[in-house]
Amino acid sequence: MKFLHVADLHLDSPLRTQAARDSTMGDSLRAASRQVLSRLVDAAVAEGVDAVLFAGDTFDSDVADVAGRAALATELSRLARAGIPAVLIQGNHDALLDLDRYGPVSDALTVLTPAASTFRVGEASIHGMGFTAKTMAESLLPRYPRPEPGRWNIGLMHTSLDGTAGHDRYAPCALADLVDHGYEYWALGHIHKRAVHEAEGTLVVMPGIPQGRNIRETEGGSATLVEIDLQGVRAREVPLELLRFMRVPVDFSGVADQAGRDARLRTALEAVAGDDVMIAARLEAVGSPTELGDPRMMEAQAREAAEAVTGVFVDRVRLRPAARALDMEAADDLASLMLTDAATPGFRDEVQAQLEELRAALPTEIRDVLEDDRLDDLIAAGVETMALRLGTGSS
Amino acid sequence: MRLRHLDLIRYGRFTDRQLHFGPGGGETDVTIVYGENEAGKSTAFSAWLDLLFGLPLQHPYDFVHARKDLLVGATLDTNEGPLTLRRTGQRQGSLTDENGRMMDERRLALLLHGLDRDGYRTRFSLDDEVLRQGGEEIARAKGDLGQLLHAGSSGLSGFADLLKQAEGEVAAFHKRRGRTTILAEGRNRLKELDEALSQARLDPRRFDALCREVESAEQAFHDATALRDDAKRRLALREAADCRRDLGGRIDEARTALEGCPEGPTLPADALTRVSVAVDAAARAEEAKAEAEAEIAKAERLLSDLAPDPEGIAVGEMLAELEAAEFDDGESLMARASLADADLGRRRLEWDTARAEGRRLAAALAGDGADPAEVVLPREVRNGIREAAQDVRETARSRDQAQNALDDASAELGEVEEMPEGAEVLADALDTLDALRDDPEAMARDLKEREAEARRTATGLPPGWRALTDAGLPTTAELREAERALKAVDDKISAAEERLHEAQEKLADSDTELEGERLAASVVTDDEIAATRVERERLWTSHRSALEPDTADAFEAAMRGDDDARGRHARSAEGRVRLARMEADRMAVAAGVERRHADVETARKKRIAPLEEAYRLATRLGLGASVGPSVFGERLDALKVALDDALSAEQAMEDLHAAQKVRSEAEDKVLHAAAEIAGDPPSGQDAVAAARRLRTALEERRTRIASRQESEKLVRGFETQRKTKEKAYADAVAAYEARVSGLWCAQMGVVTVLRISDDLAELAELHGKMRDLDRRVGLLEAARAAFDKRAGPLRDKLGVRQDTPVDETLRLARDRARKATETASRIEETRKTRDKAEKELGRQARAAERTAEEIATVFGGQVIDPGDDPLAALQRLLDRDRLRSGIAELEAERAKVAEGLDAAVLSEEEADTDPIRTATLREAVGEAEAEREESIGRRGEARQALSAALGTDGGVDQGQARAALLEELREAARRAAETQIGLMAASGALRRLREDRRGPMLDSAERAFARMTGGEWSRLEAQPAGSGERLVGIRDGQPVSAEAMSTGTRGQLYLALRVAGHADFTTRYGALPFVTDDILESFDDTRASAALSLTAEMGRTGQAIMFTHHRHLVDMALEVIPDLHVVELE
Repeated sequence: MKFLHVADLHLDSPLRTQAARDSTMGDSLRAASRQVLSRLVDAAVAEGVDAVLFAGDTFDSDVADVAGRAALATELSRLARAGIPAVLIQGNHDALLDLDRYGPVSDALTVLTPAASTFRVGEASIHGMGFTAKTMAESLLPRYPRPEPGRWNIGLMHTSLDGTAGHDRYAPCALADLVDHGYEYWALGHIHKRAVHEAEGTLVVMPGIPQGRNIRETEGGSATLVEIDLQGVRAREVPLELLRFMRVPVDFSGVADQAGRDARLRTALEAVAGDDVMIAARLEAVGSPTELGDPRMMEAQAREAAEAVTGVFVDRVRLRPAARALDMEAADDLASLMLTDAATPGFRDEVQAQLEELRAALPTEIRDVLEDDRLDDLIAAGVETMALRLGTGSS
Repeated sequence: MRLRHLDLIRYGRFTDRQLHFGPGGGETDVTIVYGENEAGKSTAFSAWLDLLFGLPLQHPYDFVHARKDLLVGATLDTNEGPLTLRRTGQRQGSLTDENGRMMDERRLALLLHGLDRDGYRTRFSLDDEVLRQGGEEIARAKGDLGQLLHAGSSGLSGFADLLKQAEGEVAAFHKRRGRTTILAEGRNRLKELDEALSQARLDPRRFDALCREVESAEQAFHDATALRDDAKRRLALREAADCRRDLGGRIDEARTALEGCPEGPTLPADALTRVSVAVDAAARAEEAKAEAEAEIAKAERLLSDLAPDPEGIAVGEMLAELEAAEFDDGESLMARASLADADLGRRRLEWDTARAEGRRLAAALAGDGADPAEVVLPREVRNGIREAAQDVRETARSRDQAQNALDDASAELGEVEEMPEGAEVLADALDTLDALRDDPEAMARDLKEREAEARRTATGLPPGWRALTDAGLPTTAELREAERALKAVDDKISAAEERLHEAQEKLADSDTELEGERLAASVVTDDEIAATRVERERLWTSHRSALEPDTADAFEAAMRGDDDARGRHARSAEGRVRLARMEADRMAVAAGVERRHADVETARKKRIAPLEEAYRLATRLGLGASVGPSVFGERLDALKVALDDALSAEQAMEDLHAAQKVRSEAEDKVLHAAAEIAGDPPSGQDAVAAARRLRTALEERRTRIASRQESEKLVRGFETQRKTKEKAYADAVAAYEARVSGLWCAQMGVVTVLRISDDLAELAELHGKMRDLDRRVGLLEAARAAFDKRAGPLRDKLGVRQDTPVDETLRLARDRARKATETASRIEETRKTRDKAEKELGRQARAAERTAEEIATVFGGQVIDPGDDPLAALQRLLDRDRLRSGIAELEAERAKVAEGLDAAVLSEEEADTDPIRTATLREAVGEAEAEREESIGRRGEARQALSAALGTDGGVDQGQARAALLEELREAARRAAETQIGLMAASGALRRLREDRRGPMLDSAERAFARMTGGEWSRLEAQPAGSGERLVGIRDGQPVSAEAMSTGTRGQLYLALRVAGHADFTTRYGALPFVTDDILESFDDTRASAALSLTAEMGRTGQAIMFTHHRHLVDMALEVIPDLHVVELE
């Protein structure tokens, strides 16, 4: 039997990238999450799966837009026309969502709840439950039904597993416990990074977020196609993402001029360009101050190089001047003086005071960029960048 | 670290070239690298940088040696001793020792104190462009002390602009109360997006509200429609009632009118048509009857007027028979007879004429009484005879022509001639002579001219000048070099003398100043106070021994004088110092004068060698010893030209001799050949001409011989032709005789026969014509007779004579026949017309009866007055029937109006005769319609709102745009914050730089600046300016800000700051070679000299290397810089 397993669609959650404002890429990224949902259904129909499993956080909030509901209904109706049922549990983001506010979303959709926790299709029994609570401090595993003999048993669960940095703790559950429960396959959701665990014939898969929304969500980008038969359980990725965030290091060692920088940039960008996926790249330029040159020129060159590479957008450029091999007395006085001055508490306090006004003027959503806990990084980057602009070295 | 020597092993255009920079250790460590443009100075500097920092991937100096093969080396003097290094073109491990062993780059990095390529180049090199930019930097920095000190120590520029730009970037992102900043505009845009998002987002509550709004609008529409329908229904009832009322009134009116109409059943539907048609038909019938009767009467009258002609008919029949009759030849007898009538006389006349002519011709041809029939010859016979006679004539003519041609050709043969032996030889010899191109006479003239030219160009040269040229002349390069060397040494002598003079003047000035200072300063020297003290002691001793008042006075005076002197001595310390300095300066100047003297002597000594060389060259050129090199070139040119001309004349002489010899040999051959032919050789001046004439005559003979041979060929040809023509003639004569044999013209000659052939043809034609005429006359007479026979009865019928001409007879017969026929046909037609009219009369009478019956049928049962006009009666009956049908229609309509309506209500409405009720109900309908329209509008708006809300994708795009904008603002905020922090750090660093370095660097820069400007700018000071300080120069006691200085002075200030920065770096970190590249190009000599002095200063603390292509700067540097090392690049 075949199933397509996806989690954390977060429909209508926007992408945090400037690529969406690009004239070329903006159109392609329009309603990205809905496009990904459509790709999911395309893949399900193409593979002829027996069911599609939604492991939570299909919507980004409890109050889903009617248009978003309609988009889901439209795609589910496509599955219905193809004779493919959809099985869904709610996650922590859409825990309170009244999915059937306007009647059944689709005949093909089954929502698993504690009251109705099993859906049977062919020789498979799919067990799962979502809760109408945004927090769940205890494991839900004890409430899951025992495996049904003679059938393939699949578990659908939204869980933080043993706990992962960056994700809220939700229905925590030990991996070993899942394996011991006796199902052949666990279709999990909640953690946006893909992970596959196999033990004692049981496959546990966290498919990851199918469309990353920012630079911290770079390790998903797909759904998981599961095949279960007498030979066992196998899973493989089915790529769905439209846009991938990537950190792209670019080494400028040995570069002597702008033409050399341009060549390195193009090579790096061309290396990451994908056939079916757009790239939002965060370049990290490494080299000596001479090799890196003026930061503004580097940024302009990076954007221009990206324009020549189809499907790649430069979101940000960071310069990382290489540290010198020896800690000798640098002949560059000004940079040394700048660093020395910047390391003083007085400088730090003055910076804090200067940035306070700026922070207050920023929209609330982005004030974190100037938070106190980022002050040290800001100071280091500010001194470094100014030293590069002034044509001085740094140690 | 210093550079001892630089090895350009394979670099640029250099191969195995070593540049030595001296051992160092002298008073200064300065090297000047001198070379013309393109000599390789920049190459050398590039090689030095490549050695230190590695070869760039794209190399500008790999045009001789490929990059991978490039190799540069050097030996450096370091604190640990000499260090020899090589830099190869390898990508990895390019730094090696002289044995090729890889070396650690950190060795060099340590020596360079961490400087990279750009850092070293900006700190430790200087060219004209950097000097210029440095001056501009001073202006842009507005004299900011920190920036200038940094510029001086780092060599970097552009700070002011960069800092200003960074401030601008921060302000562009955000400033207090800024409305057009990136952040302000971003916030405005976020507001717009939030607004759009709230409009676009379709949350369930909003969706439900929109759905309810649509339902409410639908319900309102239904209600309004119901109200409108009800109002319409009531109005329809009222209008029906009004209509029924009106119809009832009209029915009553119609019934009243019906009472006055005649009784009787209703007419059939087509009564009107039938009666109308019948009435019309009756009228037409009557009219037709009248016409028929008139036609009958007319025919009767005509028949009574016409009389038939049976005789004429018979004539016509006979005529017809005659017209149908045929003659023997099948043609119409009538036509033949008519033709015979017309033609017979003429034909008879023609026949008579032809017969007379024939007889005449026959007599002319064959004699009187000859019968034309016997003289006539058939055509083929006649033609045969003519052709044969013509052949005879033609062949005779040809034969005669051939004979004439033969005779002519034979007459033109001429005499027989032969060509003598040797004619060919003579012709060849003359051709050879003619082929000679050289003209000895012209060559002789040319030789004269060349000899004259050679004599002329040798004028002015010494007598033995050929010996000079034979011994070998010097080259132009040698002369130029000698001149240059002498000039150079003379220039040096002049320069040395001038410098000596300057130094002497300076010494004089110094003496004057010193003297003046001595006189003005009232300086008391140590010697003076020692002298006063000695005097005092002497006088004390004297007084102590004498103890006299005068000795006491003298001692007192001496003591006071000594005290005074000591007092003045104490007060004049500064003056003494100044004086001492001036004296020291004066000594230095005097030493300089001595050096200048020595330089002059040295320069003079150096003149001997080039002078001797010049003497030697003058001798080789035949010039006196006193002649200077400036005229060597002219002499050399003259010698060359004279030699060329002499050689040219000699060559011309040789050529002339050779040409004369060749010509003489050729003429001998010609004369020998002529002698072989003529027996005696031609002689005299015209011998060759005579030989030519002989050749010409021989050529003519050859031509004649050839011509005679051609003529003989022609004669033979003509002979052959003549024979052929003769035979042809004989054949033609035989043929002719065969033709005429047995004929009356057999004895006639060919010429005669040809002459009479036309007459024979004419006779034959006449004979033929006569026969034809005979035949035709016979036919005509036969036709005429036949006609007369047939036409006899006809003529009798017509009553005309039998000899009436045919045409006349026929005309009369035709006329008679035609008239009779016409009359008969007219009688027949008239009868037919009469019969037809009688039939028509009967028919029309029957038609009239039928119409009366029809009218009677239509009016059956009706009450009509007899004699009444049918149409009038019909109209009355139709009116009656119309009333009846009208009443029925009205009643039917009235019943129809009530269909579908409530009878009771309708009845009530009919009874209600309120005049305004209908209008009131109509108004109500209008209001209900308006209300309904409004509800339609509201329903449309509600649907539209819902549709629009559903069509927006729920704010996805706005949400994405908002997120992207926030990302953009986040990044821009981070950048602005970093820039602001960077600005703060840079400002702080510049402030510390200013505070830490201002003292020693200012002093160093002040000294350098004063020296550079020759003391015009004596001091530099830092003055407060806002939160910082700015640099000002003091000239003539007045402060001038750095940005207010002239361009040239700013350049010098920048140079002074660089020198100070170099000194500062060297003090703190250690020395590195400082390289300048033609920086003094724009300096005048005074400033150049000062700059060279500064270079010497730098050379005292570290190595300084200067590149220049100005020779005079080298010379100047030799003056100014002690222990200068010079490297010359070819």
